[in-house]
Amino acid sequence: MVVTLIRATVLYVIIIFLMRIMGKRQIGELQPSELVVTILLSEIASIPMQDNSVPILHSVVALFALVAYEIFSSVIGLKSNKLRAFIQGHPVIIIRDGEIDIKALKKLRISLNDLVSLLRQKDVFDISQVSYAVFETNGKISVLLKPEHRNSTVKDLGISPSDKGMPFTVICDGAVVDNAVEQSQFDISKIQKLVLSSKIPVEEIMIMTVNKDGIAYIARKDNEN
Amino acid sequence: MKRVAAAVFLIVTAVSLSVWSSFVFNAEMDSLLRTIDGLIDFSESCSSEELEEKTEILLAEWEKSSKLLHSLVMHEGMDMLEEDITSLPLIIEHSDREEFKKKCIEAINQIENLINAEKINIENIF
Repeated sequence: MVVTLIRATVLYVIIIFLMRIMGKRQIGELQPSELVVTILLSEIASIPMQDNSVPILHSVVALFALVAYEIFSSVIGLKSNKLRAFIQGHPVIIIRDGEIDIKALKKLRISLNDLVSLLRQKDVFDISQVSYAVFETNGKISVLLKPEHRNSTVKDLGISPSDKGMPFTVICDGAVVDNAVEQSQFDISKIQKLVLSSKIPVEEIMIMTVNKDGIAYIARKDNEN
Repeated sequence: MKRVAAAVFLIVTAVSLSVWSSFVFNAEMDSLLRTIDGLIDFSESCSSEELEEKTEILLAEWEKSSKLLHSLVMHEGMDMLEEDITSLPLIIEHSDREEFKKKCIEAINQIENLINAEKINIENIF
């Protein structure tokens, strides 16, 4: 049993290491080839975990090779359109000016019910409102509504709000988040000044964010702002 | 670029592990094969004590190699070979030379099967 525990720990560390190398992507965003590799990784790693008579080295070699091939194919795909198209396929237009391209649907083996369901997931309930719908290589659809059905933007309304930038969480749960401080492009001394002016000790701050104008939001652990 | 470097590291590690394990496996198996082969020849013209001594040498060699081989080969294949090799001293005790020879040949066949299973050829790949 202890051997199983140790083997599981070793494989867990290897899998985490490999997943970090493969990069951050959510399941729904994976390309088919990436999804297959991810499933294969879990399958290959589970074999020596279940069966102690299988040497871990067998799995490690296969895992390393698969991840390396996946990275190579994605890097080559970035440089070669032909290879990318071969591995990932092309995005396909399935609705043009509110008209469904039945030929494209048949080629993709998508039923009308599937299409309507995919549109509903994009909050589109009326196909006639769609200007273009594109079936992406990761199995999702992108929808461009006709101009009269699109949400109005700030530009449409003719107003010009000030851009306060993205707030960075520089203190979280009483600890300074060095990475966020660096990304906020503020000196740590500026953050310390903001903390001092709030008169709340760092360890009592639940969350503190600063935007590019240096405006801070501070929440105390007991919810006092 | 970091990711490509990591991928190169992974593939180099995978290839190195494969080549190293295949080299170690072949060397260990060849050595065992030669020892057992020699034991068969020796068993035809020696006393029980001498044969016992030689078998002990084989067992010691097996003990040494088996630890490494178990980390490279599926244990099922190794278990059968282990059974054959470790039963040899018991057979000498019963002074059954024919049975001893038979077990040695069985062990040789097991080793050859394991070596063949690791060879790079069409049958093993597909």
